Parts: sequence; C-alpha cells; structure tokens
Amino acid sequence: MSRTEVLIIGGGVTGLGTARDLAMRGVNVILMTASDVCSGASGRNHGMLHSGARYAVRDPEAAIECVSESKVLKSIANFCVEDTGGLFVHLPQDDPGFPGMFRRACASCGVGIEQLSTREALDMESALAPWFDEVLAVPDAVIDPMSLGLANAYMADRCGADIRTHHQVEDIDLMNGIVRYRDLTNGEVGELRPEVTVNAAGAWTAEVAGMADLHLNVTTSRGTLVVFEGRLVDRLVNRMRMPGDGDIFVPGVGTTVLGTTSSPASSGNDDLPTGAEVSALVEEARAMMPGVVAHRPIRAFTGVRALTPGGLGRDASRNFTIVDHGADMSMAMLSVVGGKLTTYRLMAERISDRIASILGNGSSCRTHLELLNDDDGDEIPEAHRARFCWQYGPMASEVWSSCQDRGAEEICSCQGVLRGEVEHFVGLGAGGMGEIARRTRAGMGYCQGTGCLLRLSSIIGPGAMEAISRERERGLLPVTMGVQMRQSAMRDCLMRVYGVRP
Amino acid sequence: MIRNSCLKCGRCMEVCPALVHDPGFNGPRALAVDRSRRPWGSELDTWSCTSCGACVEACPVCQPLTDAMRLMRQDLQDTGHLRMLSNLEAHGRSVSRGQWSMVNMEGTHLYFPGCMVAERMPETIGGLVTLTSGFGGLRVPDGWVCCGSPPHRIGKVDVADELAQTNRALLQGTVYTSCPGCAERLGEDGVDTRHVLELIYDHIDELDIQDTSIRVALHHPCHMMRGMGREVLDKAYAIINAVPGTEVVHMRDRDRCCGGGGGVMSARPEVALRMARERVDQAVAAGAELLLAPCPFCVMNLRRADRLPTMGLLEWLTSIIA
Ligand SMILES: Cc1cc2nc3c(=O)[nH]c(=O)nc-3n(C[C@H](O)[C@H](O)[C@H](O)COP(=O)(O)OP(=O)(O)OC[C@H]3O[C@@H](n4cnc5c(N)ncnc54)[C@H](O)[C@@H]3O)c2cc1C
Ligand code: SF4
Ligand code: SF4
Repeated sequence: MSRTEVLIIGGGVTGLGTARDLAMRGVNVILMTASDVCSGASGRNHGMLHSGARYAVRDPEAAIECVSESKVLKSIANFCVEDTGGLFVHLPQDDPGFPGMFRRACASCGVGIEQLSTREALDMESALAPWFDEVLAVPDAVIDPMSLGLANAYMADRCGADIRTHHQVEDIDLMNGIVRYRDLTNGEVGELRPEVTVNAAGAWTAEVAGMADLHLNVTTSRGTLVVFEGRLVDRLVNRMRMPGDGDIFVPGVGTTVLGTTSSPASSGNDDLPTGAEVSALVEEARAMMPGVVAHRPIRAFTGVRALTPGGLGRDASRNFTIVDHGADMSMAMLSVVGGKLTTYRLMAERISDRIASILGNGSSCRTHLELLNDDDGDEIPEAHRARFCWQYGPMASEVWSSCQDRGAEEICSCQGVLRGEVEHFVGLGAGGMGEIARRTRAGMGYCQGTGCLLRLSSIIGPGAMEAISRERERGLLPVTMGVQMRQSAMRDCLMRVYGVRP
Repeated sequence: MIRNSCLKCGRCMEVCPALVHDPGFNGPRALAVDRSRRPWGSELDTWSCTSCGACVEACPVCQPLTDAMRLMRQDLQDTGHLRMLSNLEAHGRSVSRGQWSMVNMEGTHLYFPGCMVAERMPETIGGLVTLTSGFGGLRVPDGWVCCGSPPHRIGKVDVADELAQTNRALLQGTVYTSCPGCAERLGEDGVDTRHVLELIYDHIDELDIQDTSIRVALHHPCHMMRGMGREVLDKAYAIINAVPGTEVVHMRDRDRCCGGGGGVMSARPEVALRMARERVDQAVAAGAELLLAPCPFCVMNLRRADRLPTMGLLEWLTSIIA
C-alpha cells in the first residue's frame, strides 16, 4: 500500500477545494466520493455568489466571510461567475423595521449597498411587482457550481491529487489508522492508511463520523428549488426580509432559479422534490413577481445542507466548523460542517492549514492567488468559445479538441451541446446521463431530454435510456403541469415509438 | 425572446423551406427559441427566412416563430436590404420607380396596387380595370405609399409604422389589392383588405371567358393562405374552374413556399432561386403547362427559375377574356 498523507472523503466543492489546496502545497492526497463530483449539495444549489447581504442581519460572521470570499472568487473563478449584481426589494406587507436593520447590518459587515428608486428598479427588472417600497442594490453575483467544482477537481488532479469518484468510504478505524472503502464500479473493497482523514461529506458528515464511532451534532435541512424557462430577471432578486421560502430569483443561462424551501431532511439522500414544495415556492414568489405563475417550470431539484449544531433550518448559522477528532489516535481526522459554496475556498484553506501543521508542511495557501482557469480558449472558434470557457474553464481547449468533424454535430439543441463534448467525457469514464449532464449540460434544457436522449443513446448505449428517462422524471414530476405536462406526454410518446418503454 | 412552450417535436424544422435550401440557416426553432435563449454564440443568421409561416402553422403549441424572427431581425441589418430602405426613403416604394403612371381610374372599388404591381407589373392594373369594368371598376387612392410589408418583415417596424400612418387616411372602407403581402400587412393595420380575385369571384358569371385547353397548377402564396385565409385560395380555384377547358393539376407539396417573401430575394437571392426551382420542378412534375400564382412576389420569384411559363392568376384571366 502506497503512502497517503491525506484522504478526503466527499467530492463536493469543500472536498475538491481542499484537494486542490493541499495538492498545491505538495501534499500527497486522495479524494474519494461516493458517486460523482458535485452530486450532493454542491450540484444542487442556487449558484448564488453571496455578497454577504443575505446573511448580514442574522449571521454577520458568515456575511463578513462572504464579502471577502465573493471578491476572491470573482477573480480566481471569473470564467464561471456572472457579475450580475443583486437587488433586495422590500414589500409593504413585510416587516417595516427590516430595511433599517438590513442597511445597518450591511454597513457594519462591509457589504456595499446602493439605494435605488422604485422606478429605477422597475426599469432594470420589469417582471417585478411594481408595489415594493424600497430597493437596494448589492454586489451579489451568479456562479456556476458545476463549472467551479469541475475546475477544482481538474486543477487538483493536475497538481497530483488522486480524485476517485464512485468510491465510498465504509469504515474508519482511528485506533489502527485504517480506512476501508468500496469501489462502487466493481464492488471491490480496499484499505488505506492515511496520516490524516478529512470528513467533508456534506449532509453525510455525521454518518461518516459515525463510521469512526464519533458523534457529531449535525442537523440537515433540505431545500427545493424550481428552474423556470427564460431569464425572468437579469440580477439576483431577493426579498428584503428575514430569509424565507420563495424569496430569491437567480438568473441563469436562458433560465431562472427560484429558491428555496427549508425543512428538516431525514438524511443526505432525502433529495426528492415534491409538488407541494413547488406550489409553496411559487405561491410565495408571487408576492415579488405576480407573473411567475404563467412561466414554464422546467424542473425542480432538492439539495440537502448540513448545518452546524444549533437551531434548524434558516435560524442555524451557515457558518462552518472544523472539528478535530483523533488527536491521540494513529490517524488524525477532521470533520468540516456547514459553510456555503461561496466560502468553500476559505474552508478549504482553514482545513489545509490545520493539516499542514499536523504534517509539518511549511508551505502556505495559494488558492486565492492562482486562477482556476489558465485556458483562454484561443483555439476555439468564436461561436463556441464563450460557452466552452464558461462551462469547462481550464479544460475548454481539451474538450474542444474532441469536437472536430463528427464531433461538431449538435446533440442537445436546448443547450447547444456538441457530440464531441459528450464523447470527450465518456472517454474519460463518465457513465450515466447524470454524469454527462453535469459536465456538458446535455439534456438539462427546457425539453428535459426529448430528442437528445435518442442521440445520446448512440453514444452511451441504448441500455442507459430507460434509466435516463427515469432519472429525468425525478425532477419533472413536481412540475408536470401546463407546458411541461405536454412535454412529458410528447417524450413518453417518443420513448414508446422508439421502444424504450413498453 | 418569446414565451417558450416548445416541445421539441421538430415539426417546424421539418416543414421549413429555408432549412432545406440554405445550409447556413439554422431553422425556426433553433433560431427563434434555442439560440435566442443563449447569451453567447455567433450572430444569428435569419435572412433566409421567407416568413412563409409554415413553421407556425405546423407547431402544435403555436409558438410565434415568425414574430420572433422579426424581433431578432430588428437589431440586424443585411446589406441586401439597403436598396429597399433607400427606395422607401426616397419615394415611398420598396422598389425603384418604374414606368407606371396613374391611369385614369374612376371606378367605385378602392384598389391598392402595392409597389411590386405598380412599379414592375403595371400591365396588371390595366388588365384589372378591364376585368372589373362591368361591375364598378377600380379607383386608386392618390398619394398611397408602400404597405410596409417588406420593411416589417425585415424587422424595420418603425419604417413600416410610418408608412401605415400615411396610408391609413387614404384607405377607408373595403380595399382591394392583388398582393397578399399588402393584404396581410394592411389587415394587421386594421384596414378591411380583400384580394381583387374575391371581387372577381363574386362576378365570375358576368365574364365572358374563352375556352382554353391547358393544364395549370396553382401555387398557394403563403401570405394568402396563412395570412388572408384559405377561403381566398378556394375562390382562386373557383375562378380557374370557371375557365372552360382548363385542367388543374396539383403539386406534390400543396403549400410549399416559393422563396419570394421575407426579403430573401434581396438578401439571399441564391436561396430564393433554389426555392423557386424546387417549386417549379414540382409543377413540371405534376404535368402543368402553366404555373399560376395570385401574388406578384411569387410570380416574380418563380419566373426566375425560368423553367415553366408563370403568370399571375388575374393576368392570365385578363388574357383569356373574350
Ligand atoms: C438548497 C440549497 C441551496 C444552496 N444555495 C447556495 C447558494 O446559492 N450559494 C452558496 O454559496 N451556497 C449555497 N448552498 C450551500 C452549498 O451548496 C453547500 O454549502 C456546499 O455545496 C456544500 O459542499 P460540500 O462539499 O461540503 O458538500 P456536498 O456537496 O454535499 O458534498 C458531499 C459529498 O460527500 C459524498 N459522500 C457522502 N458520504 C460519503 C462516503 N461515505 N464516502 C465517500 N463520499 C461520501 C457525497 O456523495 C457528496 O458528493 C445551498 C445549499 C442548499 C442545500
Ligand atoms: S417562416 Fe418559413 S422560412 Fe421562415 S422559419 Fe418558418 S418555415 Fe422557415
Ligand atoms: S413545432 Fe413548435 S413545439 Fe415543435 S419543435 Fe418547433 S417550436 Fe417546438
């Protein structure tokens, strides 16, 4: 068994960011994650790059971290950040005392705010209800979580980290310093003897700690979001009140995400969105945008967050905690709980600093200094360059090289994905639809996989088809009404015609 | 751009003539729905769309694809259209001035000639005057300008609106025209517009038509069947059927666009020509000896194919009136 200095459990942004940080410091690191990278909360969130405003009143410490980290990410990950800016709108029915509190809190946390007139705000965002009485502009931005996660994985790999997807850790023996895992692709089990183990398993952190017979007081909370067709807003639009359901609109590429609910989750796997959650969200959101009901929901999804001990749901701090477990054992173990996508790098830095001191590694963090993307995609034709750089960051040119000749065929017309992109990742071992979709966005558009499923099946094999269409239904069922109802009928018909379904 | 309820059925892409004849054209859904929802990519090339409306007609959810196409064009400009715009600016016609001079027309029915007929096919007007002389005759309003259809279809809505302003005062009551493009545009502007063939249809029994023994095919102008209504087309067939000795043959595609609309003739003349050839070939294959079209734009473009004698429906009627 080769010497491993650090084992990271969990391939969300926290784990991947830590892998990059450590690898850049020359630490020998293996990351294992039970399924794909970013298949947990890191692939199931709004993609808000928080300016800090949303947390300023309730969680100033988190807000202050967001202020500086959002600036760092706007520079190191600018390829996947759209600096849209954000608005906070106050509705007459909401707490009249909140705006004052909000302004003071933003000022003390260092969140830059700017007062706008209702007229100015309506000129910017015509879809909003015209009856709000106060609007503030904040430096919120949008970040693509998948692009961010993949870039971290790619850069970590380039620095020598060993990222293993579909590797599930099953047992941790602190006393003897052994971690047992299973390679889920073939069912084989293996052992590692790392000097330090990092538990970055997100909503599964307590479960993983339990494998080492440790108790972590972590609560989990699920949040459901609805993706609408069309860019309904051009900036992030928040409701100016204590954060609640259905009060954020986040603009995406031809889409808008409405978030979020918050309710206790039974486990990290409690991620099936329900129709009731969708209805509740839309009902709430009407206060900010009455027209939202007429828009076409594409799908819904649910993420599960781990919260630091304390309250549940939104009252709990989103700030993170690093717990040091095995000080006097043969293997050190750290668990990281909480945090946000926005602060993932800072969390990674803190964990890595701790590990560096355990290992006696004297180098310091450089993740805030070096760009996550060193590929400007010069070789890529202009028609594709912007999208390739946004989606693939440091991998853009590599992916493009698979898109010549036959690879130039458009395979997903909603998103403009080319055959070569899919083939590239299949070549690198991406298996099912989820993994291809997470990387290329194929099948993620408004039709949620209709014709493209058939084209994809020519690459990944027809056997995957039924699984794909079933996977799609998870997110579609809660929004199967109106246009998406017709869409589902259409897809169903197609699947029957092609014999995918009886 | 448009409220997207597309189901990805592909019908619009299947029926689009421009998609077949211009390899660089992306097709109605790809342009109006997919590409317009992405913030990146190259400039949209919309200029091969003839605004035939086949896509809208085929779409199960009635996506306003042609409206979206026009909106996209609003911010674009093709050099091929500069001449049309400068003609409009100079003398209120979409084409350069021809030989037409106002014939003395004192009839009762208000007639709107439209640019193409007035400036390129003035003989049509003379013929129509003769045809209608028995039931009132025609009268052309003084000072009329282009109906605004050509600029409207290439996205210059402001130009079209200005023209409509000028025409509105002149066009009170029922207005007849021999151009379906004009009819559709004026209709959208709230003018009660009919095709002259409808007037003639009402009086067809009063005409003394010669016996012809000829096989004709009737091209269905897009802006007539989709813009004015299929009943006008039925009247066109009724007129042909009233001509003794005529045999009507049908082309394989009933409703295929000839390529003459949407400004394609000026922006992408080679694409318009390929579409015309396809259409004319269909008429030849059906055994037609003469191709008829109740639209000056269709006649113009179909003639460019140069494979089969092609006439306006009413021009033909004029020529066989005893
Ligand atoms: C609904 C919702 C919306 C959010 N919106 C935002 C937002 O807009 N902005 C923002 O900044 N933050 C947001 N967040 C928070 C943010 O998404 C999370 O804080 C962040 O993604 C957590 O990343 P992580 O790497 O810690 O966990 P995860 O991404 O959940 O990763 C944990 C990984 O561990 C793996 N794992 C679990 N058990 C094992 C095991 N035994 N062996 C191997 N691997 C294992 C899992 O497969 C999983 O991939 C949101 C969260 C939610 C739930
Ligand atoms: S209007 Fe006609 S030419 Fe234009 S996109 Fe639709 S079908 Fe194609
Ligand atoms: S016909 Fe309509 S529903 Fe079908 S692909 Fe075209 S736009 Fe979409």
